[in-house]
Amino acid sequence: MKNLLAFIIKDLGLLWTGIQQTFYMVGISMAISTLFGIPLGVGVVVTEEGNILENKYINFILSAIINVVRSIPFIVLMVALIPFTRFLINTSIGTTAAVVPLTIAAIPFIGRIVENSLKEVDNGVIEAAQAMGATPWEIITKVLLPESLPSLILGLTITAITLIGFSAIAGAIGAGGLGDIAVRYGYHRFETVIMVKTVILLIILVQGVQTFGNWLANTLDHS
Amino acid sequence: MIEIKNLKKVYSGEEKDVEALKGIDLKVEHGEIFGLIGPSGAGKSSFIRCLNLLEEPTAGQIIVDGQDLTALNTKELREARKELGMIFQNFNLLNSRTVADNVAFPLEIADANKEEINDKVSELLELVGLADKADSYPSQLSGGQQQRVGIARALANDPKVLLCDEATSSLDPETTHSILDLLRDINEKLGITIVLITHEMEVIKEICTKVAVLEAGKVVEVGDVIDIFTKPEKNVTKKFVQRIINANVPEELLSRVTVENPEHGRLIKICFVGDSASEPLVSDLVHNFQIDANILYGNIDKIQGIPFGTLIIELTGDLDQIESAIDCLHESDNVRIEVITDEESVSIHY
Repeated sequence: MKNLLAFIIKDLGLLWTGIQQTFYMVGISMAISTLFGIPLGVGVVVTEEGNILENKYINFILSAIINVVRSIPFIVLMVALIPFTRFLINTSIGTTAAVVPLTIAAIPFIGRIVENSLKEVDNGVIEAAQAMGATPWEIITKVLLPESLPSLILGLTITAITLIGFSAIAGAIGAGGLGDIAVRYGYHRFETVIMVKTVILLIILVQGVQTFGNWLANTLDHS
Repeated sequence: MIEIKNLKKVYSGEEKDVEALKGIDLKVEHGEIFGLIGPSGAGKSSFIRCLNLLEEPTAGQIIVDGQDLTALNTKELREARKELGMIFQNFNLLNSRTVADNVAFPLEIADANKEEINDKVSELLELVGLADKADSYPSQLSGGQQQRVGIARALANDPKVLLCDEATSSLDPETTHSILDLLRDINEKLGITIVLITHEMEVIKEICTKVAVLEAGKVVEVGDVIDIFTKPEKNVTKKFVQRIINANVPEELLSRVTVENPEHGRLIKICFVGDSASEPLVSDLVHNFQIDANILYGNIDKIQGIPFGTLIIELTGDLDQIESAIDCLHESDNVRIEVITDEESVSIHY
């Protein structure tokens, strides 16, 4: 029993730092990418043919942004963004530096997820709002987003879990975090115990995020 | 109130264009309940959606209260739409909002303040009989209740006109009945003009004052409901009317000897309206023409409060006398007779 306790406590400091770094990277990049990703997704949907702000050119540009960024593997994107990261925060190494490529990768991801969620909203409901004299802005803020909220929450949950995965790759630029610990200690130094511990923590983290997302979506879903 | 002038709607397709509305001219007077009926594909939906410009007409004008909607810019059109409430076949309520918040939606759009919204919402929920459901979500309501919410929502900005897009088509007969009662109530209490489209003649019979029949993008017949029911002229109209009237004629009558064998006599259907119901029609026939009249079937109904009856009688006796009796019936006003033959194609006389 004592041994088990000692076993758990042993790397606690290291792992705790890792958890904090993971939360920091994923949290900030989630917040910023949601801020940009939602308008991007909304923009793609409403400029589509037959939609409330139909505009084929803007639609093409926004779709292209999503497709181009999404087709670049994260590790490549991270390296390619080094000059941009350095320009933004004066360094390209470390936890904060990792937030930049994580955010850039997440924006189109969220954009696509928002697009899919908004398309689930029944066209009849949008029409009803139009018939009542709603402006496009009112339709977006009072109909499209609230009606698709449960689905958006589930989409953002997927994004958060994807970012937890990406943040491990960001270890390559010294980002820290749980994934980085697993690679450095487990792979490079053959410390299997630490690796197993990080993997368990990652599983708990991902499971926790998913459970919370499901719960929130369910609570908000009245359909 | 509403004037529709030469309304045309063409949907451009890849191979060929589809002409949904081929030039419609109609007038809807203030306070009327105007019904538009037609078989599916006739263009009913396009028609009602053109009225508030949810579909942009290809040509023509929609004039509501002297204002030509087709000439308005986007902003003016949004304002004009607040005068035109609309309800839908699938209700189209916001699932994320409670009943009260759904009704509040158009008021929010019209920039009403909180107090006004609260007062209006409770007043409307009272009107549609859902005051106790204010905090429920649409998914917790039955179809009929959802449509009541839709009606309350459509009335929120005190519109002059209520457009009903197949509003009862997804409801069961009993619920349909109660929704129609509510619409009639609203029409009488608030003086709102109602324009509805439907494929059910029952709906027309129950609440409309005027009806237009649409076929293949054209209005083929228009008039007071009672006239359309008693004197339908076009085939499509006759079919709709028969769906209600003939539905009641027992099938086995068609195998009567008088139908299969005209030497034995005639089977005739008499439709009479209003005052003619009180004339001693049958006894006059028997008396004046010395023939036998056997009443096989009778039914009386009311359309807009006017009695409207159907009688099927078998005339036997001297064939010449029977023919003159039928001729005599042709001449009386307010009576329409049909000789039922075995080809099921009924010859109709007026």
